[in-house]
Amino acid sequence: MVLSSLLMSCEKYLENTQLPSGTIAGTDAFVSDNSTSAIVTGSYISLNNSGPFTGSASSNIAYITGLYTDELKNISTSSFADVYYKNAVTNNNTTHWTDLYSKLYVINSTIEGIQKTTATLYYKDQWLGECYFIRALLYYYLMNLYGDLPLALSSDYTVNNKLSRTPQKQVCQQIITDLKSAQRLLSTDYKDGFGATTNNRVRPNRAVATALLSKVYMYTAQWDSAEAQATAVINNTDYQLISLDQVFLANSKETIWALATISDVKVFEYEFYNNGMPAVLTPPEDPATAYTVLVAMNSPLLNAFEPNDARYTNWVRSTTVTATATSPAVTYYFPDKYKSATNGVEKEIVLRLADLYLTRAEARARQNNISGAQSDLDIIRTRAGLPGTTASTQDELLTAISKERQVELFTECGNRYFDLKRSGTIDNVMNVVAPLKGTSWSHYMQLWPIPPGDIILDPNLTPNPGY
Amino acid sequence: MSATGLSQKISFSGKNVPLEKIFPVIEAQTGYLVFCNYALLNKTKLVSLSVKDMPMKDFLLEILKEQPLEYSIERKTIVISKKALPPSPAIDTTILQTVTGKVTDFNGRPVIGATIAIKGTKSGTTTNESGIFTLTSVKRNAVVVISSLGYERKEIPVRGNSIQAQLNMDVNKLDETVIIAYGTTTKRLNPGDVTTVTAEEIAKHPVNNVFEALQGKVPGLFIQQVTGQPGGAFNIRLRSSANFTSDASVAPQPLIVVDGVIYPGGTLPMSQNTSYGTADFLKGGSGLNYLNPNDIESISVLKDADATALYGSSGAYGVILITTKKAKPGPATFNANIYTGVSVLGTTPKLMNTQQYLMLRREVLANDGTAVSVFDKDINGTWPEDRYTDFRKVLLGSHAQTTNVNLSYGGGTRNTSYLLNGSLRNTGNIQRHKGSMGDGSFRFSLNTASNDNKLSLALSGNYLSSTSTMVPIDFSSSIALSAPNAPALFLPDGSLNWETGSNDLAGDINKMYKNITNNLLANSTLTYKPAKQLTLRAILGYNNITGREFMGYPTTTKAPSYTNAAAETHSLINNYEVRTITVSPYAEYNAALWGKGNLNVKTGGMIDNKLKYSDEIHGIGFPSDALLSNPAAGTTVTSTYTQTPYRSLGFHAVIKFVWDQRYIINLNGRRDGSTKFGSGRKFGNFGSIAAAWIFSESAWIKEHASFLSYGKLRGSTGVIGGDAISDYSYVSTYSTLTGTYEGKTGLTNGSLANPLLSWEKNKNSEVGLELGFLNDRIYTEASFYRNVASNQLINQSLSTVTGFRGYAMNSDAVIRNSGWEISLNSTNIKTSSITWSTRVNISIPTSKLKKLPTHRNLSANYVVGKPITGILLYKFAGIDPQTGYYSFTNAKGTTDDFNSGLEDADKTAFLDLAPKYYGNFQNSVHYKQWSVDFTFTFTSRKGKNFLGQSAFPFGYMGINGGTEWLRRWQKRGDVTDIPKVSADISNWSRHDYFKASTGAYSDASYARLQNVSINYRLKHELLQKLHVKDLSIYLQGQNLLTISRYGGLDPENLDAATIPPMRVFTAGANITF
Repeated sequence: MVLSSLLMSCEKYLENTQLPSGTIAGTDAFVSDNSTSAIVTGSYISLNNSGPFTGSASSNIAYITGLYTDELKNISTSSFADVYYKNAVTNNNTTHWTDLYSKLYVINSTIEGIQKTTATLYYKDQWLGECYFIRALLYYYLMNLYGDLPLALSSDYTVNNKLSRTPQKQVCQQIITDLKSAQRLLSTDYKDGFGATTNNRVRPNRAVATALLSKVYMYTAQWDSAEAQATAVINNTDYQLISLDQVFLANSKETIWALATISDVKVFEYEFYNNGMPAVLTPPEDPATAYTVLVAMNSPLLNAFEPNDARYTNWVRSTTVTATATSPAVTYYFPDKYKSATNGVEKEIVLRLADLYLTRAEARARQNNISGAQSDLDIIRTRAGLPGTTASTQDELLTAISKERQVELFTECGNRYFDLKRSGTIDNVMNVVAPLKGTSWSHYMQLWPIPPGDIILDPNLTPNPGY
Repeated sequence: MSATGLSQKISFSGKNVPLEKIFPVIEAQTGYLVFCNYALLNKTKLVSLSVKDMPMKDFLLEILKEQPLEYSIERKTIVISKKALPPSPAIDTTILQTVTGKVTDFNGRPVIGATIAIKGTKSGTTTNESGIFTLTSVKRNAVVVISSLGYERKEIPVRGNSIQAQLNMDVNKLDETVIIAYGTTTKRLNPGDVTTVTAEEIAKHPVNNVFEALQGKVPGLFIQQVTGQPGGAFNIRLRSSANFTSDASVAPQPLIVVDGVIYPGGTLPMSQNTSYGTADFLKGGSGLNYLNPNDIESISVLKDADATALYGSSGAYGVILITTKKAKPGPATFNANIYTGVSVLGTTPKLMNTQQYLMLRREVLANDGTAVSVFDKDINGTWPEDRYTDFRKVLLGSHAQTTNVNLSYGGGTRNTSYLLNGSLRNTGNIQRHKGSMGDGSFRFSLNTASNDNKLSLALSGNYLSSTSTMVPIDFSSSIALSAPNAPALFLPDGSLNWETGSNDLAGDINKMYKNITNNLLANSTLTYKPAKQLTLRAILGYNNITGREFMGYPTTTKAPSYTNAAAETHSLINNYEVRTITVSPYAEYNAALWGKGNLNVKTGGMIDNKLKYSDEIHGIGFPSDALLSNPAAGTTVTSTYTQTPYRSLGFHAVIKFVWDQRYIINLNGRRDGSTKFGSGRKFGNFGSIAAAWIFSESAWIKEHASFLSYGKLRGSTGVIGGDAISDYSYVSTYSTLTGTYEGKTGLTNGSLANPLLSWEKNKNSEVGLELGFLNDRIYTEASFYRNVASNQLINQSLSTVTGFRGYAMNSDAVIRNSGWEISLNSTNIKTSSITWSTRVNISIPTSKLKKLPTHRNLSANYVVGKPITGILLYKFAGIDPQTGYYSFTNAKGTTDDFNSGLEDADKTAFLDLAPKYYGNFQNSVHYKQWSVDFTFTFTSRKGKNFLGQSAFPFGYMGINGGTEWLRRWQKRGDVTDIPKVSADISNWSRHDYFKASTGAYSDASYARLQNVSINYRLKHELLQKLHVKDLSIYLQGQNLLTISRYGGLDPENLDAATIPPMRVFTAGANITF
């Protein structure tokens, strides 16, 4: 008797031990709007801390795909930059796969948690809608980098550990499904993390889901749907094209969705390409060692600008390293879309209206709506101070739109790399660019390798060819 | 009277001198002691004599000529006794008499507190401070047994009424007290495997962390000093624990118990702030850095199932019991031990000088066909080609001062004794540095007992406060990251040189740092003996280690021209605490059974309650460097707080039965609970059985093999549970993320939970043979153990598609570890003036994976039948003489200079990284006042070579390499082991393959003169004149000489990017009043 009651109390002594401070048991996490929203917010924070939009140059998608394609060149001795610049991505450079899938786990378990909770959540639709949007966004990047994908739609590791690859087409269908769910669930106005309406365009609303949906329909060649979704956003008066110097300011009318910075003082692009570097540097100062600016715009991108393109004057800056006895003067050109070293002045724009005009132009051109395509294209060209397009056939237009995307959306969120692949022109472009970079290009390089460890651990997973 | 120095000749002149006045003359002139029961002198005659240089023996005969006395000489003592009477026909054994005696040591110094017992009875006494004892009511044929810690036991038959005993230093220590779980035993009667290291041995090492002194001394305990930086970490593994974690730095360490408190021996919750924290630099630190080795009385290492079973869950990976010095009865004694010395950098690999570096850099450009660019400052004329800086010398070349002062005062009566102890230590840094590390400690120990000895209480407390102001940077990691003709790091006035606009190597030197660590260790043991056979005891231990780390990054760490420096200033304060309360009450019952039997039953429990917390404030962007001391003054302030509780408890019962001092059997049972497991799985049952047979006690051996003075066969087997998995892996949790997203805080879930987690099972068995020859002058012990681990807690790898790299689970893999541990102690010479003893031990561990886990594991390094401590590697096939690149042999047998296409399946060479064998060879020589000790440690293992550790192959501007690059391949047909130099991008993947190939590993076996200690103890006579009880002076050295073929790297820490163990030279004195 005494012994068993002693044992009972000991059992209690152990059971009553608290969890480490600052942790909530998984089951207790979805009991209120506050904590549910916090979990969803965690995904935005982690998108910022690591992965496609991070401040770490070695994994920022815009930065490394810029190097990988024809946008940027490595002007330093940085070896990580060389890996991408020289198209030498190997099995060792597989951080994005792992990173994006870890974010996917979080979003899947969040969706499950919100669906299962018995608590009454006032803004349940909003939180769930945001989750579907984030899942679509993660798959959008995964698909663009790796092609066919294991389609993980739950948090169950016993299932996900054995997945085989689903063809990219079906992945697109899943993205479309998620975005439609997001459209249905999200509010039309922007919400903050507490459910209140706000001017900050940093959490998705219905238009954000619509904008991404429009882009994704292009991957499935559903041109009419792509056009319809783009039109829905273009016709929304919340979104307007504005003068070039205002585009990247926080909550500009052109912003559809941007990521806020966390505790950093500025948008990462500022550090990547500007970092307070003056227009003239005297050796031994150089951009790489004195300002940790490791890359500059590459000549194919610089050459793509037509004369008098206002985007060149607004969004490109240069720094000249003066001549020495042993070396001539060198001028470097840098993307200058984000100019501020102060927190909050700018936010990292992921989706903006100009992209949708060009998307619609392409969708219309594909449907042989030449004048519609021309008109959308010219809206963008006009803002850049350029005359209307001379392209008049479908092919000419598609080429013109592609070129316009190159100079309008340069170094933004991997658009150039993804566009080249989507249009099937990547091999042609890279076969010209690669020799300029001192390397060579093979077709298989348009997809990146997936971690060899995963291929060992998941017998159903196959590597990308070539790696 | 005149005396002429110490000799064996005596000059004396006197008339009618009583004998008692002549004895001091003899003592003064010869150095011999005269021992005499002064009662004998009552009836003696006065002496008149005048002699010069008379031999001592003649002189003695002369003065005793007409007296009823005779003399005998034992070593350096003259014993005066009653002239033997003709033997009487029968000794009347009923006559009781009083016996007095004196006990001295080898050097004639009194042995204080020796136990004097009369064989076969319960009466006895102890010697006083002059080594003298008196026994009353002694039967005439009695035998007196004299014993004292550290000396051989001596039995002396009573003849007459005085006894003069000289004790020899103990060689085999069979009957010394051995501290085990909840109690003590002797080596003789212990059926388990325990090794004890005493304070005396520890004192020979001028070290700050006792682990360094333990190295090699304990068979089966492998100790690796990870960094030579004061305050750094140690990797400790007992019997290469059968655990899947092959990385020694994260593998479960043995449990460390100090005075009954479970002590944080391994890592401390130092700042984990990745870019700024200290955790990485000190490799996590070590709790034992905050316990002065001088305060330690003994260390017991418990190894087999029998010894460790009582610590249950926590003891699964071995147990190290540390006992601090305690109060002892005796006269008040004051002791001071002071030493000081220097430490210098240990073994490091050699880098190329400017000339060599530039030659190779030019070769790179020639090989790659590239032109000198604006970035190639080393060869484009920007930097002078005749400039050379040895950055290692500049940054790591200092001599660090080290000083240690220990004072103690103690004494007491049988009922109450006390010990007070204070110490100060200061250790400098060999790095170019400001600051040092120092600590001060105070401790006390108090023992008190009631008059009837039924109730006793022992209290001890130890408080140590340590301050380190050394900037937490290990410059070793960046030594190779600069061209040797780069601008000097410092200007002639000592300030930083910002010539190039940056100073990556030395800029950190202007960082600010202060770390205050306090360690409070308190213990109280309450013992109550309600009956003769029953003891009730409660041990309550409390340990609290707190740390306050401050780090500041002022603008002066950046170039003055750097405009963003102010925005990048930051500072942090990390407060942490590790608090442990250990309560262990138990009852012990002792009974003699059936005449020759002895039964000992112990039962009790243990509660271990541990709480770790840390809170950190981090500020960025300060208006002035002066404000860095307050991180809250930054423009951006973030803070983190973590608190992790851990509780475990267990009940145990032990039954030990000894029959006729020959047959021993020991049964342990235990029920354990731990918060590391989920509901319903928290508890597990474990136990062990052990038996021993002291066969040398058998009549046959005594008759036919009398050279065998001691022989014991012992064996044990048992099952112990382990809980070496991170806390709360069984529950899925959400925690906050740093920073907010537009005003909203974020939560995330960090790991996959496994609610099914439960105890590891370690089935440990051991047999041991212990033999003593020639009165134990030669003592040898051999143990063979076999540990089978199953239900292992491992981090099972998962495809990252699941979102995680792995999750915690109980694996169904089976690992078998086994090994031999052999030690030999021998007293080679033992004469009156010289003793030479040798101790050797060797441990040969082996491990085998018996059953692969069912679940696939990413680590393709698991091969059935091979050790889990090994790795699979590409087969390195040397440098291709045609191309100059590394070449490898793939799984198909093709040898080529691959720069792509090699896969895991091509890793066909298996290399075990665990030590093959290791051990220690120790010699002690005592000659008159001198004692000299020297210890060699040796280890046979493989380690990554310098080339394999280099992140970059040679070729890039500003990255230097080891001098082995001078052997590089230069032209077609060259046969060498170093590739051609090139900065081509393809070299990266080639070098990556190389790092994962057999070529990256070399033989890191070594022998090291680990310790030399030379001690001179002043002569007794001189001490008496100085009114000092004892005084010795000593010279000590640590890590003096290393013999290895490991390319200049230190073969112990195996890492070119970390400061290796230091060479230390000290001189000191130890004085007792």
